[in-house]
Amino acid sequence: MGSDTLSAALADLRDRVVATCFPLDLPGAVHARLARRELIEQLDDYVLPRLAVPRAPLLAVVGGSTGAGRSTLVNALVGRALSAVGSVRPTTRVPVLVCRSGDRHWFAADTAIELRLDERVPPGLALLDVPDIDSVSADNRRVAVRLLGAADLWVFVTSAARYADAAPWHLLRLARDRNTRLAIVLNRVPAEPADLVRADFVRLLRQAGLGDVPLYPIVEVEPGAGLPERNVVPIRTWLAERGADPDARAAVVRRTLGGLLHSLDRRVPPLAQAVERQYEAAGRTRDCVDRAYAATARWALRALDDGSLLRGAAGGRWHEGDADGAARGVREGLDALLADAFARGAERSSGCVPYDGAPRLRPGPVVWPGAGEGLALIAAVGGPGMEPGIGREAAGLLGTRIGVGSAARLILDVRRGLRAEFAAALDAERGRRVAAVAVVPGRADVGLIEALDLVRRSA
Amino acid sequence: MTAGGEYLDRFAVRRARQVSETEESARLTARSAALDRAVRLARDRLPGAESAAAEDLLGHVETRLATAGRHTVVALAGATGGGKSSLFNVLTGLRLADTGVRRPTTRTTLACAWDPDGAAPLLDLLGIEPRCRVARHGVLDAVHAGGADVRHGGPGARRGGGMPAGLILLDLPDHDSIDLAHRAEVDALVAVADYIVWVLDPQKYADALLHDRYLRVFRHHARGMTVVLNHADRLPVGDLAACLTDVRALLVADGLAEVRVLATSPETGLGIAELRRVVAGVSGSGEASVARLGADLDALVERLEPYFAGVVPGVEVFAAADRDALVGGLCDAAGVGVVAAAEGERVRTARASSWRRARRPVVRVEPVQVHRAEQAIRRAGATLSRGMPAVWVGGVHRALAEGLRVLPDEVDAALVGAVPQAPPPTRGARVAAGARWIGAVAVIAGLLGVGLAATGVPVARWFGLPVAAWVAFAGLVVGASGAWCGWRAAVGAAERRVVAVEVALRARMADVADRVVVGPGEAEVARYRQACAEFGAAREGDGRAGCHPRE
Repeated sequence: MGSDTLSAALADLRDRVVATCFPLDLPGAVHARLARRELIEQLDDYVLPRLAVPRAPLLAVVGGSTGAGRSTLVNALVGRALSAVGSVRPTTRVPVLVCRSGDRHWFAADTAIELRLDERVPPGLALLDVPDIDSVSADNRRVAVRLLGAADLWVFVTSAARYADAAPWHLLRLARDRNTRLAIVLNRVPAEPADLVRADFVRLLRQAGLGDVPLYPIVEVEPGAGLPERNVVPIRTWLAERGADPDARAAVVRRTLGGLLHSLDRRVPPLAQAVERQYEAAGRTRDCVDRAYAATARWALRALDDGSLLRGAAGGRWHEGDADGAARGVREGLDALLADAFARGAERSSGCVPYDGAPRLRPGPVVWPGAGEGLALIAAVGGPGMEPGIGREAAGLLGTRIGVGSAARLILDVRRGLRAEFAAALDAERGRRVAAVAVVPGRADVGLIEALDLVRRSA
Repeated sequence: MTAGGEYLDRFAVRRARQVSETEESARLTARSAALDRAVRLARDRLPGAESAAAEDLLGHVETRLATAGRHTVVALAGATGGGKSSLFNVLTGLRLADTGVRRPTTRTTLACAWDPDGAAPLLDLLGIEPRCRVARHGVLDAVHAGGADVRHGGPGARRGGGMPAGLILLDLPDHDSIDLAHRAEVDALVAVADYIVWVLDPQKYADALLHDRYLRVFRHHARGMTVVLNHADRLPVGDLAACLTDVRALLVADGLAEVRVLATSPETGLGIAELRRVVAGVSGSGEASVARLGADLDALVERLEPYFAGVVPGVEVFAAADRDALVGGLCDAAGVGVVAAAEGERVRTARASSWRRARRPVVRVEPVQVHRAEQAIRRAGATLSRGMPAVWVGGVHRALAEGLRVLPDEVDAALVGAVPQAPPPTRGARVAAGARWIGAVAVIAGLLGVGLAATGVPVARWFGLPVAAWVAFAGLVVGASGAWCGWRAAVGAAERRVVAVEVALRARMADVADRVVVGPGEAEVARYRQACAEFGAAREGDGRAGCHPRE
């Protein structure tokens, strides 16, 4: 592996993954957000640092269920009580890292992890006792899963009571998919039917495709006493073999790192697909809102033309000869029509994805054109529908006042102005609603697949 | 006003059948009936999932109360490896349940009934297979099994009675192994068991699955469960107290502070006697099923709370001021004011100038301006539904939408010919008109006389002026005062006419508004108020209203 080009390609991929977002609550969005976070954490915690410092000691993470006996095991491996053990669960809450003093400089200080030094750690290794993967403490679970993602090898601890629990099997299958170097410790095995338990567990492992993983059973001891060192010799030997010489270490790193890089082929395309789905959903929502407001605008413009504005008070006043009063009535009707159009637009678009922000059901005050020329306004809204008389009468009256030609032009201007006013107001409202739908970059903008291809070529 | 009054009160039927009922179970029945009525009133307004959940639970309440009321189902539930089967064996005095090291051990639920008479329908309801049912007769101490191989004895076992008849003890499978069918079976059974003993153990008592998926969900059922910390003998001696404290702390965090916690061990017998007492007590009282159903109702009430919370309007749903505003808005839309003003003007001109024969025709009412009418109705809808939960606001809007559709035609039909006849002129107006005529005649005669006098014809004189002049002067005075009175009368008549027309048209409009807008809206609000009252009765069991009144 040309590690510089590979590192650069992976860093690029990481940046692009960071740039993705899944704001809309589509089915699968929660899963995508989790997958994104996992991928970023693994690239940051393990892949990129491991490529940068290939000679650092192997990090062996001791993980498993609450109560399985991880901390007891770590204490036995090192030979002294480093991690607190107890009956109150969950016991381990802060991860404990044990390494040789010569390897101290490889590990940066981290307030969240306790660092202990001990020469009895197998050479070329560092042991990390992490919290559990399944207790009520959500923090514990998160930290454990994250640190397991940062490991070169796993020592997975389960017990005779827990070997058939669903929670740890999810992680075991993950390790299998990524070809992570793994050993399993079956702890607290009852003395008598020891072989029954082991055989049943092996059966389950084979069923899950983990038949070739080394399995180390440890017999239950008195509660409260630590594990005698002789019980942990087999697992200790295994660990020592992994970390013994540079070639062995490189083999482990190649395997785990290779597995992770290989898993990118499986994990990045679904993420890209999820990005695409968000983009499409956002587009569909915007289209839905656009269509709703287009229909409302069509309705409003029809109402402007069908003479309904000349009914009621406006028509009454005209028949009394009060042209100014009629024009006033028409303006009130226009206000009502605009408010109505806003309400209808809101109703129609509420079926699309919900948006933030209070709906503005009242439009702001509008000065309608033709405020000076009431007759032109009346003529402009006098449609061919119910009241042919009024519109035509007003047009005729205007024509006698300012000449037929200019009257016609004025009426046309007013009509155009009204339609433009309505269209603009509804468009502004439509814009407000569409803007509330989050802007999601499309697949092409994020470029995940291209970045993945580059990684493949550099590997 | 009840909506949907055609439904049958299923709980009334049950009450009729039941011979005797304890106070608790009567209360349960009353609560269920009230909740049933509330949900029916809210049908088509509640989301589908909530309606379905309510229907399921109320159906289950009815079924369970009708099935084997004397029997109590106690379930041993917990994670794999916790020792449920060992406890089951110790409590039943038999070694029926498989206790092994291979996990998961129990694969199907095992049921032991102490007095199996009448228990069969209940076991069918629970879905227990016949080959997993065991009968344990208390008196005769004989053991019958449905074909299973039975062994007696076992450490700490007690032959014979000790448990009341009517107890059915269940050994459930686990809820956390890789075999997901077990989890499904556990979910089904913990939903219907009357009392649950949660079996924890020192390794797994803090597992997230147990607390998140089960214990926390059962926070209403604190009185229907006991928690045991099993395999207590496997803890170092000094740690047991600390563990128990920790278990209690976790239960408090789950909302189960008042649940009893026991430490048990089937191997050493620790806590077994007390557990036996607890189980016997639960099934001896016979009230466990009612208590469990009551807790289930509590959980459902909490779930449906948002749909019945909110402000309930007082008796007068739609205040007079709001109604006036609605009618005013509709009148504006129809131009009623314009019509009234025009009529007044017409009357004034007609009265004031009685020689103008060309009367203007009666003003007719214009068709209503639709958009302003819609605005008025929307505002009324918002007022009616103020403070109500969103689903009910939607109901009000739907009720008004129909009115919106038919309103223009209704208004136009109502206002046609609604302008009343103008009343004839009053006597005073006629007198004033007469005075004007007389005055006019006198003025003309007087002027003629003055003209004659001016041409030298001798006429009688009064204070130096011809009589005709005086006649003309008098005529002027009479005519002017007649005209002034006539004008005043006409103005008064016009004002009265305006008011009369406006009142008449408004009355017609108010009729339409009541029929088309206010009626349906108030009906919906009344439905909401009734649903709230029923919901409150279901929540408290004593008829207290659930929502608070609007000021």
